[in-house]
Amino acid sequence: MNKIQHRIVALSLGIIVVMASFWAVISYLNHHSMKYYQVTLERYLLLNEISTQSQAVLMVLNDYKLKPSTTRLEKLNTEQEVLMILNQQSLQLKNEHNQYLIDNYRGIIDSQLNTMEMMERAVQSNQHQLAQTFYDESVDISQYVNETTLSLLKMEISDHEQIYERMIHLGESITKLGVTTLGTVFVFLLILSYLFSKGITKSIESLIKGAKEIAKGNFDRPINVKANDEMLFLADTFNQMRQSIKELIQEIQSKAKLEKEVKEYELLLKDSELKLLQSQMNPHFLFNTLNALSKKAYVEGAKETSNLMVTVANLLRYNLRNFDLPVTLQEELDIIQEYIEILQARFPNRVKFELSIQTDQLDILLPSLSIQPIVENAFVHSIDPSEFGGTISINISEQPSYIMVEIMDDGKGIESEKIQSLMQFDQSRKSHGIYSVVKRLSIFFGEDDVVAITSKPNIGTCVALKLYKARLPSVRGVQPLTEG
Amino acid sequence: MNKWLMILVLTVFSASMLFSFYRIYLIYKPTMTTLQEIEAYTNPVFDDVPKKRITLIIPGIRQEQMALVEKEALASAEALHVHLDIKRTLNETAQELVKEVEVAISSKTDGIILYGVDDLNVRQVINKATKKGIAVITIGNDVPNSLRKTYIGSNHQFSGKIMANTIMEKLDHKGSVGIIGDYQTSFMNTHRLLGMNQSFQEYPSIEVIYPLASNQDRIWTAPEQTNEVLNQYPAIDAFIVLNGNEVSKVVSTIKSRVNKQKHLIYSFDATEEVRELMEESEVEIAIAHDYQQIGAKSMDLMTQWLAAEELPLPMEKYTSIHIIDELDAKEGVASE
Repeated sequence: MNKIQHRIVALSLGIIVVMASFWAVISYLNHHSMKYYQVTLERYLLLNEISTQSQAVLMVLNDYKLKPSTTRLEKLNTEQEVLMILNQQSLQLKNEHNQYLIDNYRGIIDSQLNTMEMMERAVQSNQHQLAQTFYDESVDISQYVNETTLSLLKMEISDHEQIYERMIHLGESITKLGVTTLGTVFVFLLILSYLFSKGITKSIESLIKGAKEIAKGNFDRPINVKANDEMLFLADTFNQMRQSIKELIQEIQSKAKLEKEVKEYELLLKDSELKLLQSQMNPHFLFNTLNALSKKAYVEGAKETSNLMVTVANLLRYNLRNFDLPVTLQEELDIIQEYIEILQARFPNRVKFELSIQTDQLDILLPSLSIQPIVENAFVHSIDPSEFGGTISINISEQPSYIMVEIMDDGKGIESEKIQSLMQFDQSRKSHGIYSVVKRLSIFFGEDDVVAITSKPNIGTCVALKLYKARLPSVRGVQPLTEG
Repeated sequence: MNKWLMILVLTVFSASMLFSFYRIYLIYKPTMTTLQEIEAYTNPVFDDVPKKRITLIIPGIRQEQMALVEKEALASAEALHVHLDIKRTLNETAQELVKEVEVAISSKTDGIILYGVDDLNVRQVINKATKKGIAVITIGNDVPNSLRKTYIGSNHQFSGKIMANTIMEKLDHKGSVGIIGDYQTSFMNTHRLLGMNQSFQEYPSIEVIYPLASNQDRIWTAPEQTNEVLNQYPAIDAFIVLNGNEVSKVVSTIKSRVNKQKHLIYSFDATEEVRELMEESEVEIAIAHDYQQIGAKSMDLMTQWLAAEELPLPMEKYTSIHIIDELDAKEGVASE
C-alpha cells in the first residue's frame, strides 16, 4: 500500500533535493567568483598601498632632511623597508600582458629608494644643497610612481572590464534563473499539494457520502475510493461493515416474515378450535338425548329405531373423543359406515354406498374426521339434490409412497373455479370443510400435495386424498403439528 | 484520471527542473572559463630571460606620421625580441618630453627613442639618461649638441635645398615665397630653412617672406600667418608649409579670401590630407619622409647598441625622402 506519509515524504525529499542541488551549484559558482574577485581586489589594494607608501615615505624623508636625528633616520629606514617589501611583492602582479610595465614600475620605485638613499648620504655629509636636489627628485619620482600606479590600475581594470562585465552578466543570469526556478518550484508545489489534498479529501468525501447512505438505510450502494493508500483500506473496511449490516438486516427481515406466517397458522387453529367448541355443545346434549331416546325406543319395541339411534350416538362419540388425536384409516372407515347407515335410514333407497379396499395397510394414521366431511359434502351437494339419489363410492388403493383414498359420487359435478376456491382459506365463508381437511392433512403429513379434486359435469366428482406412508409405523399418540 | 494528472504534473515539473539544470550548466561553463581567465591573469607569469625594455616617446599631435613609426617599431620589437613601451606626449613641447624621459630614466629602461624637441632642458635630460647608462636615439627631429647616441630621420637641410630648387624651377628663379610654420624653435624647421636659404641665396630675385612665428611667448597659428602674408604681399607666388598637418588650414584660409589669385603651395610633409589636396591641384609639391624606415631603423640601431654589436653608432643616420609632385606620376627619389 502506498501510504500517504510515504508520498508526503517523497514529495518533500524531491523538492529538497532539487533545491539543495540548485543551491549547491549556485554557491559553488559564487564561491569561486568571490575567490577571484578577492584575488583581483588584492592586486588593486597592493597597487594602492605601494602608491600610498611611496607618498608616505616622502613625509618622513622631509622630516629627516629638515632635522636629521637617529630616531628619524630609523623611522625613515623602516618606511623604506616597507616600500622595499611592497616593491618585492609587486613581482606577483606580473603576468604575460603587463610584465614589462611592472618592470618599469619596480624600476621607478627602485629609483625612488636610490634617490632617497642618496639624499640620506648628502644629509649625513652636510651637503644641504645636494640633499635638496635629491629630495626634489624623490618627490618627482614618487609622482611618477603615483602616475604609473594609476596607469597600471587603469590597465588592470580595462583588462578585467570584459571579464567583469561577463561576471556581472552571469551573476544576473544566475539570479534570474534562481528566481524563475524558485517560482516554478513554488507553483508546482502548490499544484501538487492541491492535487494531493484533493485526492485525500475526495476519498474522505466519498466515505462521508457512503456513511450518509448507510445512515439513510441504503445498504446497496458500494463505496468507491480511487486511491491506493490508507483511504482505500478505510473504504474497504467500511464496505465490509455495510455488507454485514445488510446481511444482518435481511436475516432479521426473513425471521420476522416467518414469525408472521406462524402467527397466521395459530390464528387459523384458534378459529377451528373455537368452531369445534361451539359444535361440541350440541353433540353432548344430542348424544345424551339420543341414548335416552334409544332406550325408550327399545322399551317400546322399536328395535330398529333403537339401533339407528345407537349408531348416531356412536358417530357423535367418535366426533367428540377423537378430534384432536390421529386415528387409523380403519377407524375412520368405520365411522363412515355408520354415517352411511344413518343416511340410508334417513333417506331409504336414495343412497348407495360402495367400498373397495385394495390394501392391507388400514392402520395408517390420519387426522380424525378427515374423510367424513368429504363424504358429507358428497351427499349434501351431489346425492341430495338429485331426483333419484346416487351412489357414493370409496376406493382405497396403495401407491408406492402413499395410500390413495378416493371419494367419488355420481352427482352433477362442481365447476372448476369453485374447486379452486374450496381449497383456499376464506374468512367470509361459513364453513371451510374441504379447506380445513386440506390444511390439517398437509400439516399432519408435512406435505403440500394431499388433496386432488376432479369433477366432470353430470358424471360426478372425485376427491382423492393421499395418506403418506411416512406416518405408517408411528403409534397412536404422535402429536400433530397443530398441537404445537 | 487523477493519477494521470498527477503523473503529468510531475513529468512537467521534472522537465522544468531538468531545463533549469541545463540552464545552470549553460551558465556554469562560461563562468568557469571566465574564472580560468582571471586565474591566468592573476598568476604571476613572466619571461625567464627578461627582454630589453625600450621606451619610444612620440608626440601625439603628429598622429598620422607617428602611427607609421609606431607600427614599424612594434613590428621590429617583435622581431628583435625586445619590449617596446610607447609614450605619447600631448603636444610637441619640451616640458612634456622632459617629463616622459625622466619617467623612463627612473623606470630604468634600457633605451629611449624620442622624437626630439630642440631645447636646453631636453638636452639636459638626454645627457642625464646617457650618464645613467641609458642609450638615447632621436628620430625625426634631432636634438643636436646632446649626448644622444644617434639621429635617425630625414636630412632636413637637404630636404630644404631640394624644396628650394624645385620652387625656383617652378617660379623660374624669381618671385616671392612665404614661410608658414614654426621656423624658430624647431630644429627640424630651422634646418629646412637653412637648406632653402642656401639655395635661394644664389638667386636674389627670389624674395622669402617670414611672417611672425611662434616663440616661447606666443603661438602663431597657420591661418594667422597666412593672412598676415597675404595682407602684406597680396601678389605672393608661393607658400611653403613646414608642417604637413597645417596645409589644409592654409588652403582654406586662401580660399576664404576675396582675391581668388592662384598661389602655389608647397608642403614639407606628405600626409594623406596633403595627397588629397594635391589630387585637387591645391598643392603643388610635397616632400614625403620615410617614417616606416625611421621606426624600423631606430629599433634596429637601438638593439644593436644594447647588444654592443655596432659601436660606436654613426652620429646621424638619414632616411630617404621623396618628392611628390602635383601629378603624383613623377616620383623623384632623393637621398644623401
